[in-house]
Order: sequence, then structure tokens, then C-alpha cells
Amino acid sequence: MKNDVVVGQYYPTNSVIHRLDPRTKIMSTLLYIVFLFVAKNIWGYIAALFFLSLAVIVSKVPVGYVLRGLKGVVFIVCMTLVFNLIWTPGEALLTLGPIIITRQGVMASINMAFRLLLLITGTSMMSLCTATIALTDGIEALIKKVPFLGKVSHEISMMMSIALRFIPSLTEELDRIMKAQKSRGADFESKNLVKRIKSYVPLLVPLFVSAFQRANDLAMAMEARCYKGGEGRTRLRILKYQKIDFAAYIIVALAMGCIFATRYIPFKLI
Amino acid sequence: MSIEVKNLSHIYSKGTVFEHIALEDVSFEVGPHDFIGIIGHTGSGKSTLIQHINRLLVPTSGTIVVNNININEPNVPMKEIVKRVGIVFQYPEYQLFEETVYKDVSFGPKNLGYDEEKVDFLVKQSIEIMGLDYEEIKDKSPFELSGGQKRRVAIAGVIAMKPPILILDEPTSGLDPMGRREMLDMIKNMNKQLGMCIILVTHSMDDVAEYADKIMVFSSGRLMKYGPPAEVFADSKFLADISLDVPQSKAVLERLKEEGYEIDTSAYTTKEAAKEIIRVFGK
Repeated sequence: MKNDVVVGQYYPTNSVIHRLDPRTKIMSTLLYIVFLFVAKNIWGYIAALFFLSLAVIVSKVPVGYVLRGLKGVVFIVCMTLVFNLIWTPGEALLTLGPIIITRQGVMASINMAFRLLLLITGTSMMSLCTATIALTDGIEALIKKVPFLGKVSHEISMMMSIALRFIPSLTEELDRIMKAQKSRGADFESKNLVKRIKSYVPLLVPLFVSAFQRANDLAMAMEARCYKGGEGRTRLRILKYQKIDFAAYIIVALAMGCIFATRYIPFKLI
Repeated sequence: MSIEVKNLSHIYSKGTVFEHIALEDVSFEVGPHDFIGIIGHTGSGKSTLIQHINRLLVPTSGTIVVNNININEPNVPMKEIVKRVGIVFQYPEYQLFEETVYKDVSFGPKNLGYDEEKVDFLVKQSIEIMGLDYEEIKDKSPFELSGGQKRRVAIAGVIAMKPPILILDEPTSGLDPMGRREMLDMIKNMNKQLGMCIILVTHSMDDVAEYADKIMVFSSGRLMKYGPPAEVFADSKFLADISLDVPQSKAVLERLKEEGYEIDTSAYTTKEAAKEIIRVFGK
């Protein structure tokens, strides 16, 4: 169970991508997401896939590890596939009783599936290559630049770093509770949906109880060390752009240019 | 034999940078009424081992046979395994979830599909084995109990399934000395009076010395020693090498010997050590 959660997990290697400034990685990921929506046809996704694969190879993170993050979203992707397939009006390709599958529907569902898969793999790549502390530092530095959010940038990043910090702890906790309840004969794999949902009560109640307990303890510990927000706090790690960051920005810009250009490829693959 | 483990190895996250060998070629046998103590440093593989005994973890290699059933056969249902092996994890009070103590303790037996009458009987019996007043406690919320009571209720929830083998992972951690002794006495009773096979995982040398019939010593995933306490504690240098201590009572005897007294250092329980000290100094 806990190994399925790849978003928010860090995979340490000593690659160039790991050494980049977190701001570079966050901005590149944001750009990548924007351009996934700019891409209009299959060529755009192929280009995005190409650049993403390049990033995976350079990062030295095993491909299997990156793809593991997709396990959890297979269901969502399948749902969007089906909905797009059935409910897009247009030129009919196939009629099965009341269900009409259209040419546009096929196109839309392929596009959506590609977009979702690339989106999730891309963002999990960012977290695999960036330690959580660096990630929140980067986010804080970036939020500071946003005019109406600048004042609360510290609070936002503190909340995010606490949330990220507790993902592994809570999954571990969940794993432990799950094992304990399994030892008491709990069945989490029932085929009956109602039974299955009910079987999660013995997991969620103890999990929430312990999450509240942890929150309480953490608040106490922070107060005991005189935490009172971001005002006047100095930092241990000061973010500074290096040469590799500028290089990375240029590469990303070129890649995005390529994806943009694919909009104008006239011939269709399908 | 009630548990037979052969050449068990377990490797976590095989093939990634997180690869870690937790158990390496572990083999042993446990009898149906034994009281076994497992000791070892943090990260020595104790917890990994016990999770194999009811298929919460699947071995990388090796076999585990419990009461003549190979539990790693995929067609053996989990229910048949949990009927035979009960595990009480560390801080079991964190697994409580029901509105009342009765409902929480009955969770296990109900999962096994027992009828109401049998569930009723088992719940009452196990709450009483844990030294709690059934009538007083059964309708209380488990969340309003004291820490020690919560833990007893949680353990009752495991023994309500009547497993012939009970594994406890640090059942005394976080308890005061009084609660600690009471807990261990209760566990000893389950072994002596109910004939349950007990496997007690602990850090405390004193606890295993006082209570266990046989001791397993683990160090970095290997079973280093397995035998009666007298044999395991005889070699204090070996224990020191894998950063474990001898029981305090034995340490006192050894210290006296170092000081030049003619004393027999083979005793390892408080009672025996006291007898030996009286023999030497009492005159």
C-alpha cells in the first residue's frame, strides 16, 4: 500500500536534475503543465513524452519507480477515457444500441488520457528529484513574488512542508494499523463494495485519532520553541541560481517551443 | 512443532537504492507450549520476522510452516492463518476504533464468522484474562480509558480469537514498572494456564530472563543464538559484541566476581541471584 504513493516521495541520486535549484524545477514543471494544455494534437504529446523521458534518463531514477506513481490513477484515467468516448458528439464511428462512439470522442479520449498520464508522471518526477525541504523552500521563494500572497508566503509554505512531512509518517501509520487489523481477520479486499467501504472504518478512525494527536503534539513542540510565524526568521539554506539553472531554463524554453510548434503540424496520425 | 521456519530471508525494496536485507537465512522451530523471548537491537529484524509468521510479509525466500500448514501457499485463506497466530503490535492501543470496548474486542471473533453466543463468550473471557472488569468496562468508549487499560483492551481484542500462538511486540513499552510486571504476569499465565505458545519480542534482557523458557538473539538480520536463558546469558562477551546487555542481576554477580569474590555467576533471575549473594555474604 505505502509503496503505491509516489507523489511526494523523494528518490535520491546525484544527477544534474537533483542538483538544480528547486525554483528551477518548480517553474519548469509549471511550464510543462501549461504546455501540456497548449498542445493540441498527438504530436504535442509525443514531444512532451520525449522531453519527459529525457528528464527521467538524466535524473537516473529507475523508470519502474517513476511509473509506479501511475498505478493509483489508472482508475481515474479509465473513467475519463470512457466518459470522453461516450459523450462527445460528432461523426459516428460505431453504434452499440444507445451508445454512439464518435470520431471526435476517440480523439478526445486519447488526448485526455495522454494529458493526464503525462501530467502525473511529470509532477511525480519533480518530487522524486527534489527533497521536500528544498521543495517547500522553493515554493516559499516563488510565492513571495506573488503580490497578494507575499505576506502569507511563510505560512503557506510551512503548512505545505508539514503536510509533505507527514505523508510518509501517515502512510507508515496506515500500514501499521492495516497490519494490526488484518491480524484480527479484517478483510480489505472484499468484492462487495459496501463491505469494502465499511472495512475501511477500522483503518480511518485510528488514523484520524493519531493524526489529531500528532497535530496537537507538533503545535505544542513548535510553541515550546517560540515559533511565531515567518517574521524575522532567517534561513539556513539560501537559494541561489547556479549556471546549471540557467542552462536548464534555456533547455526547458526550447522544449516548450518544440511542443508549441507541434500545433502547426498539419498531418494527422489518426 | 507448532512453528517451523526454514532458510527465511527477507529483502526490502529489492532492486532500488533503498534495498535492505532485513533477514538472512533464519531457521528455527518452536514447540506448541513454548514461551520464547526474542531479543535484538533496533533494526535487527525482529519485527520483520514476526510479521512473516502470519503472512503480513511474504518471504523473499524460505518457508514458514505453522501447525503443519505452509502459510505461504496462496490458497490458504488469511482467516485460517489469523485463527492460529495472533499478533499484538507495539502500542496496540492505536488500533482501537469502535464505540464501545465490547464492540472493539468482538471485531476479531466476528471476522472469523463465529455466532453471537460464541462471540459473547470469547469477548467476556478475554477481557477477564486481561484482568479487567467485564461488566464495568464493556459499554465504555475505548477512547475514555487510561493508557494501560487501552492496551489491555487492545490485547484482549487479539486473544479473543483464541490463537494457540500469540506473538507480542514490546507489550510493556511505555508502561510504569508496576504495569509492566502485571502485563508480563498475565502473559505468563496465558502460557502456563491456557497453554498458549508465546513469542515475546523485547529490548529488555531482564524481562526475557525472568519469563522466557527459550531465547532467540537477533543481530543484523541473523539468528545468532537460540536456547535456554542460562545458555544464552552464559556468554556475556558475545552479547556485548552485538551491543546487548546481560540481565541486571547477572551483571551484579559478574561485577562481584571481578571484585574478587568467590561467586557463581550462572544465575540470571533476580531470585536466583539474590540466593547466590546471600550464600556468599549471608554468613
